[in-house]
Amino acid sequence: MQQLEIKGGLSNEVDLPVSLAGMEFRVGPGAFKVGGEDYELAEEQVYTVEGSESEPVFVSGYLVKKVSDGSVALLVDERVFGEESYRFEASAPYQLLHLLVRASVPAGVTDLNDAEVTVAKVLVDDEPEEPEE
Amino acid sequence: MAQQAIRTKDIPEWADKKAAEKTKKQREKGRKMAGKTFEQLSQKQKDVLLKALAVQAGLIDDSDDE
Repeated sequence: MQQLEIKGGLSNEVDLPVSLAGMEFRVGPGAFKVGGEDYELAEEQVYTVEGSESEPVFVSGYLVKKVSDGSVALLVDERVFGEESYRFEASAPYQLLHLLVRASVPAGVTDLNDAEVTVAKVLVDDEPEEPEE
Repeated sequence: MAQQAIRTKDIPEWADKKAAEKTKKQREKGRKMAGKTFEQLSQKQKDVLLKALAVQAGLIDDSDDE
């Protein structure tokens, strides 16, 4: 599992724990910040990748806000090569907050440790030091 | 206890859209084959046609394609 660290200025911070076990990945719970707003993933989220015996599979795990009640959840898009990825259109029931997990799973893989999994963390920039006079 | 993540394939609007796209692609494949004899089809088109006929005849199950 690779960690991709993105600098998020002072208004973005996403550093939720992600773990892998077999074909399953787990996220959170925890607090994070996007666009200056505070969010909370209240419960740990789990997803089991179905995979494919014959085709590579791409998995995207998004932190989303449910438009109807404002709750935060993990939304997972799993697709085989050539299939269109999920689009967050204006009418969609979920609003995208952050793409947290991306996985490229080769055909026949039965353990995510044998796949390419990237977790995108957003870290707060250090405040600039005051110049010495 | 952990909560199951939401799957995009369980979002009705998205599932309907993908199903409609799949039907459209199948129709396009059908149009490309129309008016040709079996011998005039490419090997890939022959494979697609034979598979469709086998599914229709109940000889194979295509549920894995869904």
